[in-house]
Amino acid sequence: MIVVPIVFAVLFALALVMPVSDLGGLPAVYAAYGIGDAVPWPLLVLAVVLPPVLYVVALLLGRGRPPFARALLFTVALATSFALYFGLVALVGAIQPPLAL
Amino acid sequence: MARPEDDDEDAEALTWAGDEETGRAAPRLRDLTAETAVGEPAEADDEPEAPGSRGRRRVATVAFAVPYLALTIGWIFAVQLSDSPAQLLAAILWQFGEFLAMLAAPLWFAATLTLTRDARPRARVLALAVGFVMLLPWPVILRFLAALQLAGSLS
Repeated sequence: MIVVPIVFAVLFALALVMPVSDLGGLPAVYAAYGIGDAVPWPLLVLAVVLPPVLYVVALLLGRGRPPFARALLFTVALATSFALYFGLVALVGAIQPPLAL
Repeated sequence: MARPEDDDEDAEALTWAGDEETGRAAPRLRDLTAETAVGEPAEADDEPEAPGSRGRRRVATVAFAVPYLALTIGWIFAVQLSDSPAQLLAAILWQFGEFLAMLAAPLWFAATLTLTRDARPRARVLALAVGFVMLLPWPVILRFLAALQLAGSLS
């Protein structure tokens, strides 16, 4: 019964790699291009916060359900987490000011 | 018409020598009548469904099927628009994410249908509406808006 949440915890940790990498690396890139003031902090933080939140939501919704239903909920939450991340990446790109070299 | 001696022959045919010693003397046929008798009260205990509830659930499902199909197509296009990172690990994660993002809408739809089978129609509609809002393909929408803006500035 505990196997499903553990397996999906690993997968959600993988989903966190790219947002954490963006949070650590993007400000330096923006600073290098002279647009350090325009770092979209709320979006970067939101991208990091979303996977754990979705994991907890799936965990809570799956309480008392059979393993298949729990796995289905976790899979949907993981897929949603990636979809939202790509949406945020697109939004960051859309609001990025012109680069000054 | 079954005779009592036929039943005895059936029972004998369905037992093995030595079953009495091992405690398996009972005929090896499933007692279907007993299973039915056990199954019936469980169905009888189920709460009666409100009239028209099933129909409303079906209408909600059909009404959301087309928007979810559009979401899926939108995400397939969105994935084509993005460039994966150059590093190997990042590229693998990125493509795994893109694969799941394309499947997000059909997965949400299927999960809602599966998990709200016995729920009220309102719960199904709410789950499908939340999924629709959360899974909007922003990369495509933003690209479309940028193209519209560009077209507007050109004209």
